Amino acid sequence: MASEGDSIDYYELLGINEDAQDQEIHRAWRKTSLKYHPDKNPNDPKAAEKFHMLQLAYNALIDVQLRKAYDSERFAKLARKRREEAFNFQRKSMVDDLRERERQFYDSLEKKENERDRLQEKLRALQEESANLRRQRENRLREEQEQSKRRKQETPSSKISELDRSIRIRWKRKYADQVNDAYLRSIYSSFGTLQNVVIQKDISKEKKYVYSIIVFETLSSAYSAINAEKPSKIYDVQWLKPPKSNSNTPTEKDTTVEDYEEITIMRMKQKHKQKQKENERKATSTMNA
Amino acid sequence: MPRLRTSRTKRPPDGFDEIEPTLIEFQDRMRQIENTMGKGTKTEMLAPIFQLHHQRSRYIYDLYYKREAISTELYNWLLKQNYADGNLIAKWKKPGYEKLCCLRCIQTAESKFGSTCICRVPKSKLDKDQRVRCTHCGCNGCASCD
Repeated sequence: MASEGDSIDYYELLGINEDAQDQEIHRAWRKTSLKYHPDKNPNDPKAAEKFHMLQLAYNALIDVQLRKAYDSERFAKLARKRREEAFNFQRKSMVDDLRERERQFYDSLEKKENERDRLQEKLRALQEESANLRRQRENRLREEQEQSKRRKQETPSSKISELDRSIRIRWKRKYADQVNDAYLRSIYSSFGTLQNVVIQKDISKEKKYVYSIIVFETLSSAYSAINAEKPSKIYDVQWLKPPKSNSNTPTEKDTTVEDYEEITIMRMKQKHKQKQKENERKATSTMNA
Repeated sequence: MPRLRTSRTKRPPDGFDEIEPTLIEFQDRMRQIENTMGKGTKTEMLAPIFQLHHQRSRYIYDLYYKREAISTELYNWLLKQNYADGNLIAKWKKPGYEKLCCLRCIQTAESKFGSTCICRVPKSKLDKDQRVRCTHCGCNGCASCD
């Protein structure tokens, strides 16, 4: 009860101001006690309680000492209440601020997610584009390779052109009857497989020499034919197409390493043969001496 | 590129005069490639130089190891004079690297995932329609088992 009495404002209960005199207090108490008397309100179960509270209020306010104590306590309570209200307002504003910040954060998150989705879509589009480009490039490469294959099939098996594998042979007109296709084939087939032999047909009497072109299958055999000693009845043997560089090898971009090796080996063999011949000559000269 | 030979340079070992014309031809071709650098990406432009470098090294390697046509002295001299790439030849001697196109293709540090170049992958392991062209030297595949 006392705790309940503490929470009730006595001035409010009696319906008077804070600065009311004793007479006013007495008058107000009489008025309200008549109003809330249990005999006057038999149906109200709380009437007795209210009447008791009025009695407490009157006793507290009529006594000067008690009234002072009550006033100071009441003032402290009101101050606390005001403080709490102010604090509640502050807290409310803080909560609102927090809510606002949270909302902004979630908005930014959503925005980021949308941006990420947009970026992923862009990336997907780029990947598809690059895949298409790669496919196109691969197709182009495939086509190029197929074309080169076709070209290779169309061209002869040897990588070096016929011109580079051809030699030109001359002999004097007086041997025209003796030097024929069979004769040339019998001599030059020893150097390697012959692809073709062409002999000049119409020989005018004014011309001093008769010409023939022999096409070898490999460059090395043509090279060996050029560097070998010329047979009897043959005046000279030359390349059909003179080489560009100072070496006796035709410069072709498609010349493979194997071709170069063959040529080098041929050179070495020839050098070895020359050395052997020189040694033989020396031996014969010493024998004669 | 081979070192410049001056009057003070020692005479090359015996047998050099037999391979000199071919080496001169390689040199001419290299000069020709350098002079006629076409348009395109840097790698596309450098590819023929890489290929010719490989070809020249292979020529000397084959002459010494396969054909045994040149002396050890001449071979060492050629390596010293930078006619052939000694590091590349050292790789060719190892199993699995017999056809290696260039040293950049086996540099795992250069790739994103620590792998070798696509041209090192055997043709059997690639997709049917996949056509590879190495980004370093334009190689179409240099796996030993191809």
